Amino acid sequence: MSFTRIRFLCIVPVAAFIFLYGCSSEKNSALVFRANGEDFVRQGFIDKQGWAIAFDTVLVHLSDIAAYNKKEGLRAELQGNFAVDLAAGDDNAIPVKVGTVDNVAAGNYQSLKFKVTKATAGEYRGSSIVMTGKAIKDSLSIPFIIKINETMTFTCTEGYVGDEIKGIVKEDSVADVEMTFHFDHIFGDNDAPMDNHINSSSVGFDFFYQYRDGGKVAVSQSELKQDDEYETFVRALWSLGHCGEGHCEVSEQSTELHD
Amino acid sequence: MRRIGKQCMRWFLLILVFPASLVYSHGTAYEIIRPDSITIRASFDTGEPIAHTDVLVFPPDQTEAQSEVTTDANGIFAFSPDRPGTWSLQVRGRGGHGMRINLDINQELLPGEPSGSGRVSYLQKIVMAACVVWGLTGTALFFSRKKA
Repeated sequence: MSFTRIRFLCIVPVAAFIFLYGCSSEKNSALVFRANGEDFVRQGFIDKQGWAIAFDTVLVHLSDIAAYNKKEGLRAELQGNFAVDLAAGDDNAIPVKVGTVDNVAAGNYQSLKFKVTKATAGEYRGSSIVMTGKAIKDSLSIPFIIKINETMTFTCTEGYVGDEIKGIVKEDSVADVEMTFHFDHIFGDNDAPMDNHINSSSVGFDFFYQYRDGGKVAVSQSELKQDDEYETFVRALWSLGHCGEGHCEVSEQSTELHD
Repeated sequence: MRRIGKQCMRWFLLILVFPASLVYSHGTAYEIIRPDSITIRASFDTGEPIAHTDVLVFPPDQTEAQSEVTTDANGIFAFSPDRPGTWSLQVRGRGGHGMRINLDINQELLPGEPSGSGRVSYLQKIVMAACVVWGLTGTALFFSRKKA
């Protein structure tokens, strides 16, 4: 066997190994960020005072969204500002897709951080959350539009709590993480005992109904400031952010309350 | 003669063992065994135990629960990790809320398994592979040798 032939036989497997290794180290994994208002928003519910709440839209403005794992040195940031309608789709729609980060490294992106910020343009400029819909009780049917301008940051360190674990990205696959919003924290839940924190810490639709004008409720957060229950309302806003059923820490709130 | 010797030996052993079994048949005994699970107490911020609640157990890097256990009246539950890594435990609280515990289990914390038993290290695998290659090469050379 000639020396050239031996050299060729050595080079071919080495080149093939380098090529295959290069292909395998390429990041083809992606992380999808979703926002979920749960069935309360999609299907409606009865609040703690007996109002049947049906939402047309629940717009939440989001920014600075990131999934990470400090221990594993992982971070995926979703760049941009997003106006997400949590009531979009039918009663059984899957959580709304906010965006995708491609080419992420494989690993467990268990922690989540996101900001609720004010819209800087459009019909609801200056609002961070806008709820529209109809509240029905006995013979009353009240259309409503509630504009909130509270800004806040939610940090969910421990990760998603639900029937599965979210945020585990494997090689060449797509995983998702979920920003969950619990609007029953504002309105309460008729299905829960009245001494449950979901009812004792919420204001219910009556809080907004007292500001009705001409058969409808059109109110913004700044108009509610003098109300006796305003503090309860703001604290309910601060508890909106979740990761599945797991609570998130709130920080950087725009309203100052004295403990 | 040999048969008689065997019989004597049987009786001797029976006499030796029988009184001992009588002594221990009504006694009490205990045995220290290696714990086969990790026990956790779950409570609310107030210190109140999260009692009679479902706990989902997720092995490292698994999206689906491996098992489901329930806390007792004191909020205590146990699970048996079978490999090292970050185990996630989801404890469901009242009103649909819950908490997640991410527990780092290293080799020393693995219950019921002496460290290193039944596991082959990377270096061991290389040495084993080299031995196999060496053996095959030697065998091939032996059979391909030219007879003098």
